[in-house]
Amino acid sequence: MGARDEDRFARLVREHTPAVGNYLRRRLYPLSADDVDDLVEETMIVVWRRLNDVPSDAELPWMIGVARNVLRNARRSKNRRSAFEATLQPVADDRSAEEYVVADTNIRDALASLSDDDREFLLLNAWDGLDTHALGALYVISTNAAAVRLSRAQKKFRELLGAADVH
Amino acid sequence: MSDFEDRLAALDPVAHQPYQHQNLESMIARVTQMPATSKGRVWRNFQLKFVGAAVASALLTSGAIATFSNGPGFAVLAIQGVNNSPAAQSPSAAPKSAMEVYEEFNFSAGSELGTTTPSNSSYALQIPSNGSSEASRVAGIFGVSGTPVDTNGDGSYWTVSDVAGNTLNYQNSTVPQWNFTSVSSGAVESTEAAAVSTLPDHSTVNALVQSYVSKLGYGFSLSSPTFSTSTSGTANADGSIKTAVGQSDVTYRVLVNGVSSDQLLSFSVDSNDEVVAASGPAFTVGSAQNYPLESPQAGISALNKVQQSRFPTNTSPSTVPVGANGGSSATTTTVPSGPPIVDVTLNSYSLSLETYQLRDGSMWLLPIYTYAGGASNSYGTSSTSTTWNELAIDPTYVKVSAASPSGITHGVVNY
Repeated sequence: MGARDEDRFARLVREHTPAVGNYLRRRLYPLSADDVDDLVEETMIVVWRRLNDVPSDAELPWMIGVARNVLRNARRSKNRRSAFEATLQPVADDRSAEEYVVADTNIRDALASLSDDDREFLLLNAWDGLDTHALGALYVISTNAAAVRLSRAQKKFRELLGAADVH
Repeated sequence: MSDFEDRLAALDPVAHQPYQHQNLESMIARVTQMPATSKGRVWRNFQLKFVGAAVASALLTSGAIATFSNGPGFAVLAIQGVNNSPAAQSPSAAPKSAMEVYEEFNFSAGSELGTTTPSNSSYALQIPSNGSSEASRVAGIFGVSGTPVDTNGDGSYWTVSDVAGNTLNYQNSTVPQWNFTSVSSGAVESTEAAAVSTLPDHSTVNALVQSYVSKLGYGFSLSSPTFSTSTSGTANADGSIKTAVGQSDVTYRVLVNGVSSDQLLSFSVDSNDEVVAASGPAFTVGSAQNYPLESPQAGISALNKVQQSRFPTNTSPSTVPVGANGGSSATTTTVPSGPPIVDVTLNSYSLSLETYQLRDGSMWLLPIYTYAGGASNSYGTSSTSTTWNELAIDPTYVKVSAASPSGITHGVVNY
């Protein structure tokens, strides 16, 4: 790896670490600051090792794809460690889930009723800010196909939310 | 923004505290010191996910298992479903509104694929007949003494706990899975580096795992281990580390006669060389059944047939919003209702074993081809890291129903 690679890697990290970190925090909660940093670093290690594979026109979706796999492994570890961690003192900067409880249970129910695929597609767009171009790159489908999928997920979500709101 | 978009945004768990790495430049310096090898530290292959793509479940059969009189005497495998596919659902459980495949793949064999048909055995799995007894036995191996509790009340999930809080859970599923969690934690250090430095070396961890595998008595052989370390602990109010505890994590694939399966065994060991967590499957394998395999090229043809059957010709155009977030201010364009075609050239394959359930409820490890190649879409993005799976057994010996619902296929796209 030469100086140019290091420069490119450093730029990728500075530019996309916030989005990658937010992606991870949204999906594995609660997570201490150290844990998020660790997962982000796991992701960036892969980015460093696969630097030549990072598409120049789809950097963030590619890195989110890596983070997704890191997250999968982290979830398995977290489940194993949950009883173990119960013996430790809570980390000072952890927030309780109650601090994030939103009274909008209807929207939560509507999200939970979506298929995993629809929900992920919807939230990658709504929370992680991936547009149809980026979604297409992440899933290696055309931008049009991503638009169709997003539109259908949104439609389904609105229908579920509408039904929940009525009740 | 629409009302639902506002409400969705309000639910964003990180909206009030967006992420900021605690020391970005330090991380950059650390990572760029690492050798640029091709394997990740925790996992090996980056795989792009094709969400909503082909589900691996094969079909319920309409007839009983039969033996072909002209064949070499193998019983036809009446397959119910794939056990561990990431998106596996039984045909009856898939709702009509579930995500359909949005892209049509056009597979072709690359010149590097080769023309030789390999051979690989299939195996019926022998599953412990009594979940409670097995939970108790495995718990004893990990030093957990207690009476198994039927957690769900239906025999599907057993928990053995001792007074200290050590636990063995046993999920009595198609391929039962056990997992052990200890309350011990190893040495508490004041820095993460110190916590990691006190961990046992890889050979010690591996030896410990092998001793447990021997005690478990399933007769597993294991792949090369994949090691990582993790730490947890407490922090001061300013976020600095107060205490840290480390563990060495290791994962293996279960091998059957040297062939990798989809079953994993994982252990975590602390600085006192104690197992603090472990998980794995519970089964032994029967004798090898040498079902003939189809050629790798035939497997590719099968993948294409599934695609073609799933996307019949449809001439009705539809209009969808295209643009950032698909919002109401986006311009619209007309797109064909059929999905765009993604060209995939498959250049190589590997053989491994995947768990399948037959209609009679028995579990088998069957050989699958995992193809690797390059995919390109109309956007121009290409990927060389995507993989596709296809059951490798000669279809003569695999019975599927003619009235299959759409979306059910042998082939599965690897996430």
